[in-house]
Amino acid sequence: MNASRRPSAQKPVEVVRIPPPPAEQRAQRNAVFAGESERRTRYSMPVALDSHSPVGYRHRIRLSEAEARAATALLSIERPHRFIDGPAIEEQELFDECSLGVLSSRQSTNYMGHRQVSLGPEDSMLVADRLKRMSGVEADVLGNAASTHVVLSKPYRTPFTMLLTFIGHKPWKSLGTVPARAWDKKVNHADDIPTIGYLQQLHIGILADAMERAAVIASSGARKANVLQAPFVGAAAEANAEHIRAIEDLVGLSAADRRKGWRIAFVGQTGYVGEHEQIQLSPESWRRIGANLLAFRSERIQPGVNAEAKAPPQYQQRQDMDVPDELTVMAGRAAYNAFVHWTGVDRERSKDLLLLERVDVLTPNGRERLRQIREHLGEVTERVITGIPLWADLPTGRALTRNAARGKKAFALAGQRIYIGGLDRGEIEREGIDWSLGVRAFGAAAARSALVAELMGVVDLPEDCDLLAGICLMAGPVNQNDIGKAFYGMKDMLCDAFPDRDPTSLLVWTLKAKTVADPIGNEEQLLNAKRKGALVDLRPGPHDVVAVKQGDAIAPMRHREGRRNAERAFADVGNFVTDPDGRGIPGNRGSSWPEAWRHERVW
Amino acid sequence: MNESGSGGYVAVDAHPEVHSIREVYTAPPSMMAAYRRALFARKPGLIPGVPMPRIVAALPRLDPDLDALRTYRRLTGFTDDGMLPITWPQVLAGSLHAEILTHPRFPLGAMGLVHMHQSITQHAPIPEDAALGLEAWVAGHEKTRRGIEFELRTDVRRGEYVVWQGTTRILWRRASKSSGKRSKPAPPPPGEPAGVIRSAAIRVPENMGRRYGRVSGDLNPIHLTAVSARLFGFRRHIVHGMWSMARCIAELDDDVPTDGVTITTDFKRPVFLPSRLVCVGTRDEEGVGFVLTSPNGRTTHLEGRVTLGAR
Repeated sequence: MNASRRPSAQKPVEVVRIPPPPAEQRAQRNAVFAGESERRTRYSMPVALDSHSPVGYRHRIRLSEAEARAATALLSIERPHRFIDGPAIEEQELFDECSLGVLSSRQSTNYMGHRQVSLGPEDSMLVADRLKRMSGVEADVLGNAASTHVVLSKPYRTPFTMLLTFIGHKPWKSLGTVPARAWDKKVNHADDIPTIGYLQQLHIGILADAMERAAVIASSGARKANVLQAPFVGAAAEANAEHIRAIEDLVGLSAADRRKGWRIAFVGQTGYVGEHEQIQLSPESWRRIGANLLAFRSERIQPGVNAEAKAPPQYQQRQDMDVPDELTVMAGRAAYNAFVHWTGVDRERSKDLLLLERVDVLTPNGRERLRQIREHLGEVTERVITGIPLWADLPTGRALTRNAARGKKAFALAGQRIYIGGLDRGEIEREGIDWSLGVRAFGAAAARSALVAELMGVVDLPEDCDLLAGICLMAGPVNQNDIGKAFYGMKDMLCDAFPDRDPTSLLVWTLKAKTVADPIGNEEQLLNAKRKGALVDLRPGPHDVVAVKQGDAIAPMRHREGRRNAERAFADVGNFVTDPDGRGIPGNRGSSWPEAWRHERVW
Repeated sequence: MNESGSGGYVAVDAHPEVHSIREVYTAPPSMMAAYRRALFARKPGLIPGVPMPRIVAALPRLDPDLDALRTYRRLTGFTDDGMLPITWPQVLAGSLHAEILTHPRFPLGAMGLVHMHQSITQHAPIPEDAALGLEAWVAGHEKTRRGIEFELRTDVRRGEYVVWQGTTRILWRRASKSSGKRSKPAPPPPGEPAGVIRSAAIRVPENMGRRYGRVSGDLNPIHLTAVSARLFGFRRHIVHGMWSMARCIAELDDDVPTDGVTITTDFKRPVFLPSRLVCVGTRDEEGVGFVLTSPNGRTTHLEGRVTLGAR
C-alpha cells in the first residue's frame, strides 16, 4: 500500500426500514424448555449455560430510528485526527471494549486464532515510537493514546483443516505425502488450500473493523481507535522486522508462541477525541447498541425454504417478506466504505476491485446458477470422499468420510439475496495493495455490510418478531470450491461472472428477510448431549485471549484471586433469552465482576 | 417445627438451674483433638425434660491470620477490600464449636451432625487486621421428626462491641423408623424465574473439600475423599456447607451490604464433589435472595436471604 495515500471519505449509511409482514404472518422462535421426558434438540431452550464469555445467549432488541441513525454512523467511522487528554480507563470499560472486539468478533466455530495484549499510556508511547519508525504505515501514528491493543493472530486451524490434510493425495503416494503435508503444516504453517490462509486474514480484517466500533461504544463515544495493519504484512513486515520484534518483546510473545505461528496482526491505538470527532448519543442508547451487537449472529435458516423437517412449525411456514433493494444498496455502501477505509483506494475504484456475483433465485437464471453451484460443490464433496486414503479412514471408523459428507450442510445457499464475493489478486497487487491487506479489507467489508442488515433488521422491531432481516457469511462453499481448484483442476466460482479477470472467491453472503431467529446450534454455541443439554459456549472468556500489561507484568484479563469472568457485557440492558413465560436459562445472565475491581483504573 | 412427635424449642437460658460450663482459651483449640474425642467418646443422649448444659467456649483475643484469610478469599471468591468476608468469623469460631460439640458434658455425639441452617448478622464491617474476641455457646434445642436440632450461637467482639453474631442450627439425626415412603415433591419448572439479578455457573473441583478443610480446620472425612466419605454413608465426598454459603455471598458481591445486614441460609442438599452448580440471585422488596442449584435446577442445595438490619 502506498504510505502517502489517505482513505477517501466514506459515504454515510442511511437507515432503511424493513416493513414487517402482516401480523398474521409474523412468527417468533419462542423456544421452550423441553419437558422431563422430551428429547432436547437445538430448538429447545438449553438447561444451563456455563461460560466465561461476555456474550451469553441474547435476543435482539428494538432500536428506534434515531438510535439506528446513530448506529449507522458506526458504519463509516473515520480515523481519529488526534488524541486529547482524558480520564484513566476503568477496568469495566476495557472489558466492554474487548467484549465487542476480540471476544465476540465474528469467528468460525472453533478457531480461537486471536489474542490481544492491552497496554497502558506509557507502553503506548513505546509502541507509537516504534510505529513512527516503521515503513508502510497507512495512517498517522498518534501520540497521547490512552491504551494500545496489540493483536496477535495464528494460522487458521480447526478440525476441518485437520481433515484437509487427507485430501488431494494419490492412492499409494498418500502414505508419504499425507505425513509430509502434516509436517509442513505444523512446522512451516503451510495451508492445504489457499483460502484457508485467507480465512486467517479475513478474520483479522473483521476484528480490525469491530475494534473501531468497540472503542466508540464502550466509551459512549468519548474514545476512538486508530488501527494500523499495513506495517505488519508482506514486504513492509520484512522491512519492519526489528521494530516488530521489539513490540513482540514488549507484549511477551515467546519463542514457543512464534513456533505455533503467532504473529502481530495489527496494533490499535485508542484515545480520547474532541467533541467534534465524537458521535453523540445518550449513554442508554450506546448500551442498547452494544447489547444488540452481542445478540447478532449468523442466520442460516430461511423459514419455509431450508428448515429441517423436524424443526417446529414456525420454521416451516414460508414468510411473505423480501429484502428491500435499498437495504442491499446500503449494505453495499457499507462494504465499499470498509474496503476504502482499510485499503485507501478511491471509492469508485473499490467497486471494480470488489468482485460480487449475485446468484439468488430473484436474478435472471438465478435458479439455474444456484443449481450449478450446488452440483459443483457436490461433485467436489464426492471426489473428496472417494479420495480419502483408506489407511487413514478405516481405522477411524470412516470418521473422515463422514465428516467430509457432513460438510455439505455448510453450503446452505438460502436467502433472498445471495452474493459470492472475491478479489483478483493480480489487480489488487497492481493497485499497490498487499494481498493479505486486501483480503483483510474484504473481510471487513463483508462484516460491515452484514452489520447493516442486522441493524436494519431491528429498527422499529415489533414485539412479536425476533428480527426483520438477518445475514449469514459463509466460507464453506468457497473452501469447497478451492479444494476443487487446488486438487481437481476446477475453476473458481466467480470465473463465469468475471471472464476477463482472475478471481479468487472469498466469501458468500446470504441475506434473509424473516421474523424467526435461528435456533441455537449456530456456529458459536452448541448443545452438549453429554452434559444433558447444557449450552456449550465455544467463545473465549477474557482470560483466554486478552492479557493486560501493567508495569512489567502481563496478566490474563479477569482472572484474579481464583476468580474468572462470569459477567455478560452490557448485561444492564437485560436482553437475555427467556421462554415465553419469561423463565431464563440458568447461568445465562451471568454475574458482574466484583464492584471494587470493575472500577479500578487499569493503568 | 412443631410436627407430630416433636417438642418445642427448649432454650438453655430459660433454665437458670442449668449449670454453666465456661472454657476460656488463649489460642484456638486443636481441631484434631476434637476429632479424636468425637470418634471415641460415648454420649448418653439427651434426657427428656432436661435442657442442654450451657457450655460456653471463649477466645478473648484472636490475632488476625492474613495468610489463611488470603487462602479463604481465593477459595470462596471474596475480594480483598481490607475487610473480613462476612462468613469468615464463622470459620474463626469453628474450633470453639468443635470444643463445645465434643465436650464431655455435651450430651449428643458429634459424628454425623448435619448443618441445617446458618444465620449471620454483621453490625459493622470488620477490618481484616483487627484483633477479635470470640464466644460461642449452646443456646437451646428442639426435637423434630428427624432428630434433635440445636443451636450454637457465636458473638464476635471488636473491643467492647459485638460486631458479628452467628446462629448455627445443627441436626443430630436419630435412626429413622419410618417405613412409609415420603412423596417426592414435584420438580420445579425448568429455567429460572424473572427478577434474577445474577445467575452464575460455578464449577466446584474435586479437591475443594480438602482445600477448604485445610483453611477452615474442618477436616471431617466426609469432605476429603470419596473413599473416606463412603465410610460415613455418602456416595461421594461433599463440600462444606459454609463454603457453599460463602461462595454464593461472594458472588452477590455489592448486592450484599457490609454493615447492618443479616444473612440466613438453609442448607437443603449436599454438594457432591466435583460439581457444576448455578448460583442465582434475585431481588424483591424485602431484600436479596439467593439459591444454589444443580445446573438443571432440579436439586436445590441451599437457599438464603440477605436483609438489611439485625434480626
